[in-house]
Amino acid sequence: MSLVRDFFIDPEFRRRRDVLAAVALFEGLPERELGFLTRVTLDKEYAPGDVLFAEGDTGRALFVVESGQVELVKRGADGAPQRLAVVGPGTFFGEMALLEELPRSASAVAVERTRVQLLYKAKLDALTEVRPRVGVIVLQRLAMFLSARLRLASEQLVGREASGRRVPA
Amino acid sequence: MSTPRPDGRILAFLVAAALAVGLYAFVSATATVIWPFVLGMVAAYLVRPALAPFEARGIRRDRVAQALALVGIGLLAAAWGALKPWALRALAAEQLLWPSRLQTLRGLPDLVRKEAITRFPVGGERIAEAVTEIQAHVVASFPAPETALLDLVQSLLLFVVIPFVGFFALVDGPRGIRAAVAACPPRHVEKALSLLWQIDGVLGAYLRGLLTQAVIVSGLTWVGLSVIGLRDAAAIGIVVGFSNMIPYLGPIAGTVLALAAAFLQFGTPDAMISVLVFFAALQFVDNWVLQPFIMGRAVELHPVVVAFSLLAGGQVFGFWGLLFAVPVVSVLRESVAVLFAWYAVERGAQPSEGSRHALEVPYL
Repeated sequence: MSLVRDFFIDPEFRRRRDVLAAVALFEGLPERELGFLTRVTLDKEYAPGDVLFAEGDTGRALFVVESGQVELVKRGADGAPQRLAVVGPGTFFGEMALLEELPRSASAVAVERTRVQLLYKAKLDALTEVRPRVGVIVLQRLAMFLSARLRLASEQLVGREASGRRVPA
Repeated sequence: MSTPRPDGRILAFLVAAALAVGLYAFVSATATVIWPFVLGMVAAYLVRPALAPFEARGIRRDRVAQALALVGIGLLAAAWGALKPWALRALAAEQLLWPSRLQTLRGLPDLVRKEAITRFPVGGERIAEAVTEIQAHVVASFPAPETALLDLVQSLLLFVVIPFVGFFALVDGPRGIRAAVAACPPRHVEKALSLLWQIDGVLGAYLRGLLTQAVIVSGLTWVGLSVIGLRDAAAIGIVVGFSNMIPYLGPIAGTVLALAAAFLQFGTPDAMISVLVFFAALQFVDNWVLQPFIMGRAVELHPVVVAFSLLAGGQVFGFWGLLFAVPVVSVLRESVAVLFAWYAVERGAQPSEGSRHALEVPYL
């Protein structure tokens, strides 16, 4: 039976689809739609120290970490790099590129050997034209994440003002 | 005093220009060999969306392509099995009729010349001269007997080469992209492939526009020739519609086919004149209405730009220029628009839509 399955089924595709299924951004996508989404993603392996993208580069794709770790770094006011976060398997970053192709607000550097899956905005837009449900669900989930982050940022900002810390202009 | 180092960008530009010239020279020299491979890849590109529902279920691409190929071969075999008795009967009947038809067709130029001189006292001689010139061109275009068989074999081989190339392009296309992704420098993966996907979208829209245009021309031809009373209007319509995709040669081949069918059915110049007037009107509608508006809308080019591209492409590169003018211009337009947008955004010259609104409306 496994021979028959291996003859017809693409194990590489299944692996990539399982990776995307575990990502919170794609929660709620039916299996078939997830399959269509997996079809349009690309995977890429980065060596330790490789720059996935630099601050200021135009963002064009969402990154989903399959294995390894990626450090998100931003230049401070003094020009020194400041680590914002380290993301691991099952997490995503660079999601703003799915909405607008604007300069990245931080750099992403592979901490160790890292495999990611890339979902390009152009590919998601093309897929949405033929499978609108995929685009609706993904963008709804994205809007929820962004809304939550904005609320958190607002609360943090209000907290800093209340504590008397100087808020930069 | 130190010697100034050469600017790396100038060197990169010169290398890119030399590669482009070399590529153009290679393609020009091997055009007749390359175009079946190009057609095979175009066929694979057109068939690719049919694989999506199966791949989305995790089925291997090569298995789906093999299954499609088997289904295609099966359908062809079934069609041949069903049509073979009819085809053999029709061929036997045609073999009896063709000697007299050839005799009739040989007399066609003389008949047209006589009718032109009789019906048009002013200008009739000029029409007769034009018919003589066309006759000379048609006779010259027929292959010499010694090369006719070789040309026929080469043409038949295309029906093998194109599906062969198309099958492997379909199966191995993603492998090539994955290899390109793996080879691309890490930081530039995003930028390099993003332009490729946008060009992919433009080319897909162009091919869909081309097919839409072919279907409309087929339909119009079928209706027009049916009104004239031609028996095989549907079959001629299909041939005219799809050969119309080839600039110049396609419309001429379609017109000649319809004229021959009209003459063989009616035997009078009046029917041929009706067909000629219809095709002139069809070409006018196709060139000035269908092509600019359908293709312009499909590739988001202004109709005037589409018309200019075709004229300029034909003037500079002849047949190949006409064939590739619109897709090349649309790819160039997309590339320039994307590269300019990247430049503007990365230089901070262009704020985003969202940021403009965000400045006006506070977060709630």
